[in-house]
Amino acid sequence: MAKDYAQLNDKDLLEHYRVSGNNKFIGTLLARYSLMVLGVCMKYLKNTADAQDAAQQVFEKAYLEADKYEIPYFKSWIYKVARNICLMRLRTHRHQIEPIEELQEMPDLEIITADELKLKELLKEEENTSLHEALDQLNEEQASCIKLFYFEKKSYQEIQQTTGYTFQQVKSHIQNGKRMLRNILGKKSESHERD
Amino acid sequence: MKEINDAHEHQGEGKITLKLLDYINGSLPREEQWEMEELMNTDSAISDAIEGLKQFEYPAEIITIQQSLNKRILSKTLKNKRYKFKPIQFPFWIILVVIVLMLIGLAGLRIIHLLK
Repeated sequence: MAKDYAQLNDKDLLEHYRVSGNNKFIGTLLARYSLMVLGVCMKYLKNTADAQDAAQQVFEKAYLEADKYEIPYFKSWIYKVARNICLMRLRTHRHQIEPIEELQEMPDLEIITADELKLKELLKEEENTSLHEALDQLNEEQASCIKLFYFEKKSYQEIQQTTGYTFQQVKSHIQNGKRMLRNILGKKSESHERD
Repeated sequence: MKEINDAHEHQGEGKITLKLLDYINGSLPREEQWEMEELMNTDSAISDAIEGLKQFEYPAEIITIQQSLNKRILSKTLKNKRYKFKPIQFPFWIILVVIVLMLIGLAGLRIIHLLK
């Protein structure tokens, strides 16, 4: 058992920690997310020292509070803790206003809905007529990025090279395009059901 | 519904986050790189983390900071066991039995006292 705990999934590590109170379980879990938390903090704080400091604060809070709540998905939970800590820091230090607005307006992408899964399956069917009709309604940037990514299986870097867009632009064209597709296809299936 | 739960379960696994650095370094195999990018489209935690990690000028800096964070986590959690003090809770019937026995005892003492 001594070394096996590193192979346990998040849920089991958390459960073992709750039952035994043994710190090695929570230590393994936190270390598993150190890179992700550091990246999230860096995204919002945009400064290496601040990001490192905030990440330490996240782990401190997670260590103290992980056994106090029912946590079904540790990754989502620690991500929310990290975002909240960054938001508080931005407010306290009164950095720029821009990141705070960005944070509030950010769509909640972490829940995979049934619609998202349906779209994921649909994007595998390159020949699907309703998908192509919906793609025609997107703007050119979104449609081309989605086609390159899903139909031609090109990576973001390859799409950057083909289109000349930045990494951020490719990401946002794909994410916004997918959201539009979900809306268009959702409305279409609603009108079919009514007919 | 099962598919949604499976997807959530997959999201809940931390193992994917271990591949973040390989993705940033461009050392993931092509298929895994694409899978990571597809995940990025639906998972805001992974999406934000990659965006943040890409802001570091040198990947070596990320490794140094990660090591320092992990060292800190290790030192914090090194004391093997955190003892939890939980209040002892007795079932209601035990409390009731104890009260009844005490009352019988008191009544017995009173009777003995009266007989004297």
